[in-house]
Amino acid sequence: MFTHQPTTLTEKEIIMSDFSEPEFEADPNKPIAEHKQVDDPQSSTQAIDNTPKDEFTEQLLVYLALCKLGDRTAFEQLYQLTAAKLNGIAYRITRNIDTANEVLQEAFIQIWQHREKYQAHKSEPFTWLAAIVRYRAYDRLRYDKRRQQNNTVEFNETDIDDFYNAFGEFDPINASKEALNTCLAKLEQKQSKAILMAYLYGYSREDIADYFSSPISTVKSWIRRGLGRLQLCLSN
Amino acid sequence: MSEQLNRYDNDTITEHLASQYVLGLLTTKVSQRVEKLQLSNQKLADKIIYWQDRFSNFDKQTAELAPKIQTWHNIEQIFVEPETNSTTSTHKTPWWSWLFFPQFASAVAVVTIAVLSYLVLKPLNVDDPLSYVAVLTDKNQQAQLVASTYGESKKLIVNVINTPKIADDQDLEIWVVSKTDQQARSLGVIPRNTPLVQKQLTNAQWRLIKDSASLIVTIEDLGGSPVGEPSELIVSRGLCVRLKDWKKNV
Repeated sequence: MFTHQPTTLTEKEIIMSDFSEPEFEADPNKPIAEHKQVDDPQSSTQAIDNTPKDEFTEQLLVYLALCKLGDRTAFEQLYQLTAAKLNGIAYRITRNIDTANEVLQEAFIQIWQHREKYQAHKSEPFTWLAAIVRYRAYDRLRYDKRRQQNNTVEFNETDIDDFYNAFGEFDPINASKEALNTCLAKLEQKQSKAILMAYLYGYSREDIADYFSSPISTVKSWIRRGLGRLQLCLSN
Repeated sequence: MSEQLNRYDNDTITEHLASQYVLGLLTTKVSQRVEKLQLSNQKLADKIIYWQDRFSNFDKQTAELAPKIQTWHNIEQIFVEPETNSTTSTHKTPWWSWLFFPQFASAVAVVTIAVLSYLVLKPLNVDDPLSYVAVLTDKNQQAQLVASTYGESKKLIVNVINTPKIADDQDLEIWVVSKTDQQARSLGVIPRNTPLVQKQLTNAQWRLIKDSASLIVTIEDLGGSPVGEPSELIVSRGLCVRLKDWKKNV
């Protein structure tokens, strides 16, 4: 989709023109919870019953359903079950233990605040939880501007190799993992590396451009084409 | 608004925003916009879920790292009443303290205007108690805006009294300054020529309000600060007064 129909609008143009719309709601009668998505925990659980889930996922589904009902004990159990995994993700991106813990803290507060938004029939629970942590970690990176201040891009290529190697050992019955691995391997090396540098370690386009000593526009193109090919490959 | 919705019906734009968001390639400000937008744009939300699912195995195989014990204790604080938090918290003198006008007379002025604002606004919101009020004044302590928040609905109401003239390519943006980390975070651009504006706060923004020391208004490029941080052109400022505390002190 990207490769055949490139957008003529830049991302900034899209978003800035959108911001020209007043941020404040003009209609005082607008329902407060207009966008609130409340799932019935029972129906959510039923929606995924037909799909075999591992025990870990089943536990997460139960805890999240109970969290929706306001069960704080379930929230603590959810934390106990996932904190180390999610903290690992935060650390992978921030590369700082203190910052990772702060990101984890911020993410779990958001998880509790947004617990009613989780939709079990649309996304696996761990994917939802991990996404919240990742986005908060990316925000934190941008906020700290740590890499910009250093003015150098430190990146160890073996980090990505380690991920590829570990991929082969992880959950061999998981077909989607196999597909992603296969499709990533089919991309040009710079395309896959740029995508993984961003996703795994939170590198910005500028960081990636510095690392490859290439213009930002080139990096944007690599990523856009890479994602387009990846999508095409995964759909096959 | 319809033009905005149509824009995001464009598959190319939706796909671009979703994939770049999932890869973490958007600026914080744009990311926040996408997070807000996906609540009302199912196509965008579905695209985001699509890419999250595709990459999620990388997260599943990431090495674990045990969090600090204190992290959970900090998270638990969300269940503690704000009153308890405020009595136990300690915070340093913030860098922006120089902004505040001479304490006593100004505090009296702020509380006075807060009372007036409360009395004026209360009849409109009988079932939605006013929680916080900030009267934002210029260098000469002339009131420019009154910002009020309502606890039940989490609404921010801004009465624009007298804001400075700005160029066509500029906007006024309102920021909340945290008493915890002394950082300023945006509540949005103030629309022009609108004497009474209201904004439905997100939960995150409501937490910012609860943690606020003051509000400031800055002059920014059209559409708001491009970097997500306030410019140095601060035109208005005001302490946040928590009405419950204020009423206790009377």
